[in-house]
Amino acid sequence: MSIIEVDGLAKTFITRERGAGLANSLRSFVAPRYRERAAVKRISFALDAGEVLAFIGPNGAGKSSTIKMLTGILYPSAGMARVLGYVPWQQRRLLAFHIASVFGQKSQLWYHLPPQDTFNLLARIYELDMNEYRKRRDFLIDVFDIADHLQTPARKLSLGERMRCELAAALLHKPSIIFLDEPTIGLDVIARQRIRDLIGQLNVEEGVTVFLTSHDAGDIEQVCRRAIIINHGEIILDTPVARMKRDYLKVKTVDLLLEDAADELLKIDEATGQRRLSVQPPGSIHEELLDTRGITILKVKGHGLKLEIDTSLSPLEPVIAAIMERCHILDMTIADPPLEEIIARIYNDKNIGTQ
Amino acid sequence: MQTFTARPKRSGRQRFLLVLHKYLAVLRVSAANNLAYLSEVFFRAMFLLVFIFVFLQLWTVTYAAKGVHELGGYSINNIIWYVAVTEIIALSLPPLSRQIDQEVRSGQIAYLLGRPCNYVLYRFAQYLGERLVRLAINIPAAAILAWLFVGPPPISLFSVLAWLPALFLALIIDYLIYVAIGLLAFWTEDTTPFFFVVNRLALILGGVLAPLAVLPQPIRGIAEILPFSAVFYDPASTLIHFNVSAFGWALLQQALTLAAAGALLFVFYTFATRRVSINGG
Repeated sequence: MSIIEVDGLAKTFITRERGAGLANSLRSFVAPRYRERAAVKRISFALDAGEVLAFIGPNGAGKSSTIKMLTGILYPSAGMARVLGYVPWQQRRLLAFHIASVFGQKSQLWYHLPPQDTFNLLARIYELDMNEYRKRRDFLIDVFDIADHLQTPARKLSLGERMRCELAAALLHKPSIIFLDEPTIGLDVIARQRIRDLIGQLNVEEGVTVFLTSHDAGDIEQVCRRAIIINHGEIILDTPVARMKRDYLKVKTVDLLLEDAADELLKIDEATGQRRLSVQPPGSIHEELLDTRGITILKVKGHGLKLEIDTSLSPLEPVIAAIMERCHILDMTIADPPLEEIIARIYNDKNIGTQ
Repeated sequence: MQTFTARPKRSGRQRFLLVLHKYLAVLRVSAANNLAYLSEVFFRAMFLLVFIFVFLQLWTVTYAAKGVHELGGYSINNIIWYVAVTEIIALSLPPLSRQIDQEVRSGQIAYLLGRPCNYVLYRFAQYLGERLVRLAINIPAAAILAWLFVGPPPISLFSVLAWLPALFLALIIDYLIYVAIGLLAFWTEDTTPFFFVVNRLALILGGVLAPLAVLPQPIRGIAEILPFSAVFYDPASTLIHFNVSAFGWALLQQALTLAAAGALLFVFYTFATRRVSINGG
């Protein structure tokens, strides 16, 4: 059953334009020029209870505007939406009792006070029964492992600690839907992973519907089951994450810092004249070489080696293991393709499909 | 259309208590948060020392030059206590319009608008918590200084009891004015000029520097009909120069100012929430 229904939702902002320089500034003061900017262009989709949706797109794609319309903060220019049966911008306060939002770049914790004080305040704001609230708070403190931070003023918490407290605060009133706007932005790898795990756990254990926006393909891959990609205010892809991974997240960039010179792992392919990886598969006792189909050498510099690996042709693990058998890896980064690249490929595939 | 979720059914009294607890909790948390700025408030209160000293010198010279012991019914003792009371109010004003301006520009307002509470009431409880902390420091500081300079205050139990509602109304009127200025951020690039104009007019025509009763006409007549006197002159003259009929007029003026400022804010807020275009959206 759909708990979010969006039909032809659109939002147009009117912005004042001003040219560069003093003369243009004066001109815009006397005769201001306005420009209409369509942030969201008549999008439609539905979301069922318990789904974990990644709502993704580059900066200015219309993600946050959509979230703000669905939470009732922003009035749409056209279209209709119902969230849990409420029209958000008309019944914002009623809806607010049943949803939660966390904005990664903004804090709801009181700056000088420990999170405990914000939790107590939220219990009053959401009109919770205080006995129920205490049980819920203790449960969330346990799940989010924040007992040590509850008495520390919010300003002294690290970003990762703060974000766990933000999530716990947002869940105190047992919302049916949680809107997460870039929840992992600015976090280090470990903190990011922890937040992803917690979001997944919440969805499984409490059945909370998750509506997540992110720039980070890792968030989508590890947390979500469905992805909607929005660009220039339009939905360009609505697909299960498994399919998206298969089609668009299969290529990884591996950046290695080796103990030996990177050249020692490479040799020139006589047929193509290109450099290729020349390592043996892990555990190999013969002179056979690792199949390097789908592996592209992007950059070689001293001890640094950058590879692009198509995981549908060459799974990552054997490649890394093979390199490790030849020399020590001092540092390694595995990155997903940037979102802009994924979007370019989606457009490319669509064009091929329509031709 | 039917909604997926239902709120528990509650009686009118239960609802009232829940709402009351909600905004009292905001007030408490705001007061606690502002205790972090205690030293700043304390140093600001120290400014009262300079202020009262300078005004004592000014009024002593003025009274001596005119060869009188009273002006507009105020002796030097009365006038210094009057100025101390108006300064207690003026120095306790939090940077409300700047806070709301920044909240609108940064998009932080999204958190508050997405909560099951009324933004204007939430903000009022927050403001009151902040202002009460400042008042709690300013009142004893001003009282000690004024007492040291000119002796005990010309107050009675009646005047103190009358002062409390007059002060509370003044705080509400001040709130409505500065929230309206803060909400101008939805239309303008910067609300600071509006703040400065209103704040300076309030200092001059609100009766902060001298009781309106000692001002010459027509300035006095103009000042009396402007809303600023409801914030400073009405509560301060109620405490220091109490008489029943003046108190009745002061309450009436405050009530009318409150109604007008409330209506203005209502219009502003209604249009502002329709203009929400939070940064980053």
